[in-house]
Amino acid sequence: MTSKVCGVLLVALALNAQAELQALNDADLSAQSGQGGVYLSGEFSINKEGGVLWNTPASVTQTGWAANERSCHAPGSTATEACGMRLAVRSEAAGGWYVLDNLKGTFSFEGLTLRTRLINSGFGGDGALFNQDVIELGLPNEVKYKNGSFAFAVANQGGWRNNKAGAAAADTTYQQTNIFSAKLDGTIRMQGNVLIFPKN
Amino acid sequence: MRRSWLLLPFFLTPLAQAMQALDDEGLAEVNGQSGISIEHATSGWTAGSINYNSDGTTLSAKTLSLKPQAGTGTDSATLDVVGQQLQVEYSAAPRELNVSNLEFAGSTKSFGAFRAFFTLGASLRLKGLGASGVSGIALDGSRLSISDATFFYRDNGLDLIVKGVSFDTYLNNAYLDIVSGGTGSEVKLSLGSSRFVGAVGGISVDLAHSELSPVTPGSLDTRHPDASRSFGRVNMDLRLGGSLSIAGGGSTGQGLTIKPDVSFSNSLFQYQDEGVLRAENFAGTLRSTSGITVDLEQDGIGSYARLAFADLNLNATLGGLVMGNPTNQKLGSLALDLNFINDGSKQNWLKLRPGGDPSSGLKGLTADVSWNMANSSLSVTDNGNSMWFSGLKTNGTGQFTLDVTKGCSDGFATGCYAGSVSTNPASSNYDGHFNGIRLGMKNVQGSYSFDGLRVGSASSPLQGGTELLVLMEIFPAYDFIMNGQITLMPGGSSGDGLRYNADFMVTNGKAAITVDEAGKGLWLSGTTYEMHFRDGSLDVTNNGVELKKGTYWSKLDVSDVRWGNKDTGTSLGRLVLKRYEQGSTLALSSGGSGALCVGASGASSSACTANGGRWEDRGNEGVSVKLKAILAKDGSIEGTSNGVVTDEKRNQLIYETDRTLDGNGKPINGSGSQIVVDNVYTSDGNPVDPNANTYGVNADLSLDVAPTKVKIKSGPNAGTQVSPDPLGFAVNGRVHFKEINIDRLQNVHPTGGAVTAMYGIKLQNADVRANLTATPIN
Repeated sequence: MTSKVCGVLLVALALNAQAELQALNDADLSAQSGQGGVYLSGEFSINKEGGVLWNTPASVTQTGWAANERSCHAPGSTATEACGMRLAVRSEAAGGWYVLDNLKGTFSFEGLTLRTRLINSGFGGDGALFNQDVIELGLPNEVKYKNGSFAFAVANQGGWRNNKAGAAAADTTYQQTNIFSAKLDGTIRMQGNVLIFPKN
Repeated sequence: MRRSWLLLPFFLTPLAQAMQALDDEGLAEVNGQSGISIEHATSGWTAGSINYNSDGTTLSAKTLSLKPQAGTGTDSATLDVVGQQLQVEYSAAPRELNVSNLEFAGSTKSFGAFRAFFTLGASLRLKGLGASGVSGIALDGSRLSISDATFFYRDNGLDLIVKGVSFDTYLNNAYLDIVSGGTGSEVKLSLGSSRFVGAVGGISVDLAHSELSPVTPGSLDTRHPDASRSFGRVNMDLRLGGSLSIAGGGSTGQGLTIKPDVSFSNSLFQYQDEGVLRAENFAGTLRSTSGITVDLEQDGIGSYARLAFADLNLNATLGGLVMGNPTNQKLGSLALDLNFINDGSKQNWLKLRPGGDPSSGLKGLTADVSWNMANSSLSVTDNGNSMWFSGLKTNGTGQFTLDVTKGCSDGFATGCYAGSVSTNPASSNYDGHFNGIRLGMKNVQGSYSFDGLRVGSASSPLQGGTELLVLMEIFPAYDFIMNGQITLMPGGSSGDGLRYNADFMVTNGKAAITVDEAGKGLWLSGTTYEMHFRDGSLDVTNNGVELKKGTYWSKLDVSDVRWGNKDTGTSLGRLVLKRYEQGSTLALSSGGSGALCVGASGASSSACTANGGRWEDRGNEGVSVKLKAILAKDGSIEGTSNGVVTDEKRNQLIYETDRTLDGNGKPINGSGSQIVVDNVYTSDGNPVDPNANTYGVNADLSLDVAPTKVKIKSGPNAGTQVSPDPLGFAVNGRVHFKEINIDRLQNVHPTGGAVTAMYGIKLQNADVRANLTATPIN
């Protein structure tokens, strides 16, 4: 398996990207404007307005939540907050679950490009040796993050359950411990191209 | 003598007889008189057979009769001359036409039997000298009509019934002329500004074999529970122009050549179920310069009728498209420009042979088909913005069969076929029949591709964006060999519409996920794709078009995921995707995204901008697609191989690399290392009812052609905005599900077997949105 991995060549995610970009021959690239590639602008979001499994309850008091309600507010907060996506993985047959919980956020960009490209020159002479087709993801200069968040946790069941006695459909045996949680807002600079190709 | 009578078209018979009896000069002298009235009482006629012979091949209509529907019928005609015009008003008694078999002489197979019930009427205005000024007959002001028509087609005792048919043709400024063409001269009907109004009240099938006495439109056989179901109603009102020419002589020797040069404008077409599919302003042309030839020929298999055309262009604009509720938002308009043209060995022809699928008796229809369409396009206009699927081309050959068939599970056993390999319709290798109209496909070897999208105008630069449609399994390019069948049954999940059962097997498939104009891209090469649909339905409701997939299972086995060239590109390895769905749906409706906030949240322009987003209004037209996949849980394991479950009805993804090669350098499946994502299924995530599975994985797509912000990507002006905002193909996608479960993730070694890496994966509460606009790279 290890010898056959999909090779991902990240060409310049740092400031020295300019030098590498020159090697990709920008003039040729712009001359090929309107070829089969595509320029995408817009946004990608996860649970921008909450999810579809859990409605956001009116109050943070967990015992009052209905069977299809959950709030993912920060501890101590008195305002409810819509929940993000939840991913749980069990690594042992009868073990507990790793959980990536409350995963959400909006990522917007202008100018993510996608095309197929033959690299047979440039790269300081390596291109001619490489001589292969790649899928080129042209990174947008800026990606804006808005209201991004996630929490890393461990739990004894894959699905989240309300464990407060008295709540609707409660399962008091359910345990989840959040190890840490994070919030993301702002702008990330992503320049250059990601080239994806199979590697034998 | 009798045959020469019968060869005349049945409705012209009395007219021709009347015209013989009158000469024009005599008529001119009686100008101003009240005309002549003729009444003709008839009990009809019968004939043992009528033969059409062309180049030594004989097409034979057996036991033919045309009789009044009730005993003796009276036809009436009045003739008058007004203003140098012969005026004929003709009304016929309702007739019944019977053909017991349509067959080629010497063949045991036949096309089947036909019966038609109809009433003819005509109001003819005939004037000598064609509008060409040379010869011919002017038909201006004439009308031909067929009303109260019902048509029965019988295949091995099972009937297809077309009910409530009526057609009215109004010939304005039309004339009939003999002009030079074909092998000498041809008959040319110039349509002037004619109008064709037609309606079909319903299409149904009668699967109760062997009725005691022949049925009539007034007393249909209602024994089968599906007898009253219908595919739906069709109405059309076409404004026709141009001409239609018919010449003697086919592609070789005897035969016919038909040259259409027909235009239609300002026309209406409507299909009606609960909702409607309607093109309110339908215009276009149908043209063949070299004509459509009809020949009778023979080969080693038998006699056949060959229809061929070296060129045929269909250009149509479907304006004011409505899907669903007529008061709803509209789809915009759709335009087609289809060019069928012969190119070397890629030709356009149909060979129609008697008898359908070998498992379906001696009657039915088989067509060997070859097609080549080049340089065609499809365009969509949404709120005045257009987008072209440009450079559409397709070619192929194959055999299609058409039969009315019956399965053996509904208690009406006569005429059914239970199958020979498997008699269980729920299995993949069931080869029996289903109820309905069966379209069989045998070795249909074809390909299609389109160069890409052009947005704004037909000469805009080519761009990608078709990749965004792959989610709907519309690939930008596809080569395939297809075998299988689809059987359509009238009546949808409710009311009119259709139900279907289908099995398709695609082999040697090469499908592009993304491809450029040079054919380089990401390809699914060496694909076999086996698909089975049971109890699916298609309806047009007030919400749009709704496809219910019923029980669906499939296996997509991609031998190589290739980069670059579809045959020689480097391979990423093998992918196998097995799907098992119950109750999945696909719904299409009009109206795209409307106005929305990109990059933030907000229900209004000001709220969106205040939150740091960009407000985009994509208008009220466009298309919305809703895909809902309910992945069913495989509750028990029926078989395993090397530790991997091999059940055919299971959601499973296998990725395999490092396969060893056989003597021909072809990788051997199963000889490499695999990752297996096993038993994927959806759930409603309801703690009160853990087995509930109705929500599924939903993909909602709204498609629009709309302007968007674009920055110049490279060069001296990199980073500046393109102005004005260029038009793009806007896809607003939303994937949402309540819960997806994966039983296990396995690593498989070819000799060591499977090891479980993860003992469960659960995804909950997802609502992922991608709001992307595709424009050319600047």
